[in-house]
Amino acid sequence: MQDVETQWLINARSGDAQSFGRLVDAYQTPVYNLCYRMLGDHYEAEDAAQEVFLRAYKSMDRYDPQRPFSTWILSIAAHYCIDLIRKRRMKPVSIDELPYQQITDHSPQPETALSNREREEQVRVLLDSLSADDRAAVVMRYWYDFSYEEIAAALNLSVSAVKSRLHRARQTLADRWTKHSLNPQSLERTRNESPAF
Amino acid sequence: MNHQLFEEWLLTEEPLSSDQAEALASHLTTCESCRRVSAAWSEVEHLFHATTFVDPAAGFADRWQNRLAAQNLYELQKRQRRQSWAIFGITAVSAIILFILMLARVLASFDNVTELFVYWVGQMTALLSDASLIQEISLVLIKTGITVVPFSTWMIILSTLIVLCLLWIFSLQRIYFRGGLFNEANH
Repeated sequence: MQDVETQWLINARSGDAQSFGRLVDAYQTPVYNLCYRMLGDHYEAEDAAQEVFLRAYKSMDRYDPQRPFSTWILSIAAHYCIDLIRKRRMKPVSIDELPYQQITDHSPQPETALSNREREEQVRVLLDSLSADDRAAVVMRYWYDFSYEEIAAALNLSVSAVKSRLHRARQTLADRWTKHSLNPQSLERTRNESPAF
Repeated sequence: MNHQLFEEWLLTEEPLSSDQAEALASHLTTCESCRRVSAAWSEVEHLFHATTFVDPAAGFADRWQNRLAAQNLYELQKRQRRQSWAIFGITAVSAIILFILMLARVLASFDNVTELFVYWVGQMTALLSDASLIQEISLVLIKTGITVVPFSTWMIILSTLIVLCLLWIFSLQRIYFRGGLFNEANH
């Protein structure tokens, strides 16, 4: 698989769109998952993931073959999502624009589907309490098992900055979870809360 | 020992020394808030590990290919518009420079403004009489044409011209608005 992927990368660097299409097929889930965890919305995640692959395709000549492709493309995804979140924060949102979040669940059992949905919602609220940069570091650490060095390379930070961000993020997440444990309704209130208040 | 140090040890991923681990364990037996933080983080970590990757909707790669095609077409059109404007700009500037040079040459050949005005009026009069002559010749040609060439032949010629124009418009539409050029290049 590694050799096949290497061949795809070589062809894609020469401008072969079909070979890059195969890379899109192979990496769509990791990239989409990162975008979803960062943005918290399926439509935005789809749009962001598509844009990430477009940017990667246009920058293939700048891709360093010594570096794993997964690290490189997830780095592009993280930077793009961070920029989106920052732009989003500067734009006032009206109540009418708040989307209803539909989480797709393939589980056949209603109880399992419900607990999966609840779990996803809890994860979304927890990640939403973090800043964009901290969120990216957390997602890369806990979903992709990136080392501190890999996260530092992906986010253009020093290793000590990554450690500091992750530590701060863990504190924030633990505090958020503690509040949720003391007041289980806090999760429900947060979801329905208008950003106007 | 500083409480903040215990808070750091609780959430660190670096392995603690045996002394540090012992001190932390002892601290947790007495500190309620640290116990809460430790339990909270443990649950959050467990929650993160329990969630799997989220898949995109089916057909993601196909949608990306369509997006790439649309992007390429957009860039091609942008490039062509830029080239058209560049050619137009160069032509316009050249025409203006030529006009200025010609005007300068003409003005240099007159001694005063009156002479120039008289010359200009003479030129306009000659132009108007030429236009009148052309109009007379055209009318004669049209009358002769209508008499000599049958009406049905005129209709055939006109219809052919209209069909050719429509074909041309249709081809342009296919090339520029439906990505016909891009699709041909790809295959």
